[in-house]
Amino acid sequence: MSAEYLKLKSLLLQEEIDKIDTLARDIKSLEDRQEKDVLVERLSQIITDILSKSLQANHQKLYATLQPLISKGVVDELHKSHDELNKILFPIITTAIHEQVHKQKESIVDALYPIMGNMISKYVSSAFTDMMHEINSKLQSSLSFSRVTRKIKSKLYGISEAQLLMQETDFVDIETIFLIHKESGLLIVDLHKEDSNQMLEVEMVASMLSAIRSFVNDWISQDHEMSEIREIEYSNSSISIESAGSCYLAVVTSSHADMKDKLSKVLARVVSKHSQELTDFDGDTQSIDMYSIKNILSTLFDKKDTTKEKFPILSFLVLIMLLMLPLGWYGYNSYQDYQAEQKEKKVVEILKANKIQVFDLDVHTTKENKILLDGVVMFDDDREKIDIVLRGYDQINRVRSIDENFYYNLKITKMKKVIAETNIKYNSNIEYKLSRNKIIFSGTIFDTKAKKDFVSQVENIFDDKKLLYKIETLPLLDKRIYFDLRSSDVLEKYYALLDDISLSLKNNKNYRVEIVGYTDLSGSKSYNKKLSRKRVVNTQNQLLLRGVDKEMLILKAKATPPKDLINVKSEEEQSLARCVIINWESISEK
Amino acid sequence: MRSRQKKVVLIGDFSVGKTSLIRRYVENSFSDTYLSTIGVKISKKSITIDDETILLLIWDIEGALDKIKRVNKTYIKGASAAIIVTDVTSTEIESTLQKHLDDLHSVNGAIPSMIAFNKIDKDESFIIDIDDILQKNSNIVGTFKTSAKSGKNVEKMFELLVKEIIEC
Repeated sequence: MSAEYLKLKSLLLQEEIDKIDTLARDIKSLEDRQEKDVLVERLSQIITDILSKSLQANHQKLYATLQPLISKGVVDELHKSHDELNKILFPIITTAIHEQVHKQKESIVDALYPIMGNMISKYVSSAFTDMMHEINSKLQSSLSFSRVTRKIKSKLYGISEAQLLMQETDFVDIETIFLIHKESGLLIVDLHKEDSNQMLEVEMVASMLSAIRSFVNDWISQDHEMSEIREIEYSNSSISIESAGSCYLAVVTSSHADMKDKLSKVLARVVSKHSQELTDFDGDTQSIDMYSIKNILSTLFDKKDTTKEKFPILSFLVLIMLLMLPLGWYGYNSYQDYQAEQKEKKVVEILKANKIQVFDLDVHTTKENKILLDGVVMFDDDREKIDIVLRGYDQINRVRSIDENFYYNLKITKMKKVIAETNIKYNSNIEYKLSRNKIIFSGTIFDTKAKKDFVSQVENIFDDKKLLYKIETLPLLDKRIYFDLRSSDVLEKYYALLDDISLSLKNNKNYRVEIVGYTDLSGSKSYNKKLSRKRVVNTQNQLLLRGVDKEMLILKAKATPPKDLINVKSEEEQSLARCVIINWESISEK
Repeated sequence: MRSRQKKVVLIGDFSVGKTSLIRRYVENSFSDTYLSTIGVKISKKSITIDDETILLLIWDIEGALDKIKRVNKTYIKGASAAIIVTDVTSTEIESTLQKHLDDLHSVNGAIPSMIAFNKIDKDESFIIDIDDILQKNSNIVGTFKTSAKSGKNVEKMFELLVKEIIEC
């Protein structure tokens, strides 16, 4: 029954039952929530109390417990809503920092000093390294004498080139230089950098500087010891002071740098040169050599220490000059040639512009830098016109008119005829060469008489040309070889002579040589004739053996003594008649 | 035109009116604050006489508050002339004058010196006999009763001093 009832209930009321169950669950849930809120409210009070008490009692422990949770929470929150947090926290933090700085400036400075100091130091160091790298790279890309020197120095001392360059470079920018009389404070000389603003009231400044210097020196001086103020610094500038003798130098610079060495060197030069003038200075600038003092002092404006650099610069310049000397000479000559060429072109242009037609025109510059013109023009007028249009030029006019040229050519023809006749007459080989302003004759002629004859004929033709003779005459020959009685054998003792003769013949192949045989008066004429011929032939054979051309030799046999011995009677003189005479072919007999 | 610089020193006790006298005369000067810092103030005046310009550099040397303490002698060095300033209302004129003259002499020798009896406007009837001092110090070239307030004799005194310098 019970089961049936439940089944019936299920069939009839299932929907309602479900609704009632849902409603019951909702009510239960609502109740639970109310309880939770109440519970939270109650618990939160308790937790706050616990935390407060715990914070008082054991602050460290509580912090240690909560710290990981808080940190994680903060990190999570930062990730989730970074911008919102920024908006909230930024004004609070800014105000807090501002107030803190205002209230506790000193302690904040102390706290930040190590961090900031390190940061700045790191930054400066980094910037400096960058600068050194830059300088090094620039150094590597440049080449100069000083760079080579620096490079060697760098290798020797193991210092980078950049560091050496930094040492060499004078970063000090001098604004003003005062030379002041030590005792009176009166200004002796003042110099100012060219582009700097002129300092006003320099005399007052000098006096004031002297007062300050006196004050400091007096104030610091103890037990009458000499002491001296060296530098006054202010902001980015400083006044360097160097004292010597009766004056001192005050140099205003736009940077801090140790200038002591430089100042003392320059001041020493001034004092050593002008000691007495400076000591006697009483405010009258005319009493001192201002120009000289200013000259010395102005070297301080130089970027480099001239006292150190003078020698290397000088030697470098000398070296360069020595190296440049041949180049300079070559350059000078090339320039001269170029100028001459330009001038010659200009002359040709002038002639063309003035419609002066010159055949075979030759324009060139002489060693004396004169313009020499050669060629042929139609008329004498043209020749004169050349002189007019080129009056601005230092020129030599050798231009001929056609008429002149005709006569010139005629002279040349005449000369050629004389040469041909002479060569035939004297068996010579004279040649000529026409040079610009002279005729050169060369060749060989029989003797000086023949040469004189030729020269006189040529000089009759030319009266305006320089004639140069390179004509040689034949060497004297006229050699004799003697024979024994009734003998035609050439004795050995004449071999050396035959060597000399053959050499002369070989050197003058243009000429022929006569070998003429002679006998004494003994013996029959026919015998002597045969003997004479044999002697000639044997002599000829000796010469042929020595390489003489047979064509050069003319053989003649006579049955008599030579002309100079024709009347001799003595036996000794008779022996001289047994000979052959070797001589150049006689011109007269030709 | 010839131009010369000359250093002139003004010495005298504290508050005798040296600075006021100079202010009356010069054309340009450094701030008075230098007086209290290093004890001297530099002023400048240029005067042209007979085609020659003299540029006076006037050193106003602070008078010592302590009467025993003397002025910084190094400031006096190299001076071509001096003006010793006294206050006519002071009761110790003679002794202070001699003290300053001695200081001058010890450093610079007998340079031309002038005595200014200043603040004469406060006592127009001021009369003093310094014959002894004048006899002892032949380098004193003149005495003037001056007033920085009215300017009385100020210019005249400097002009005379410059003439003395030129003649020296």
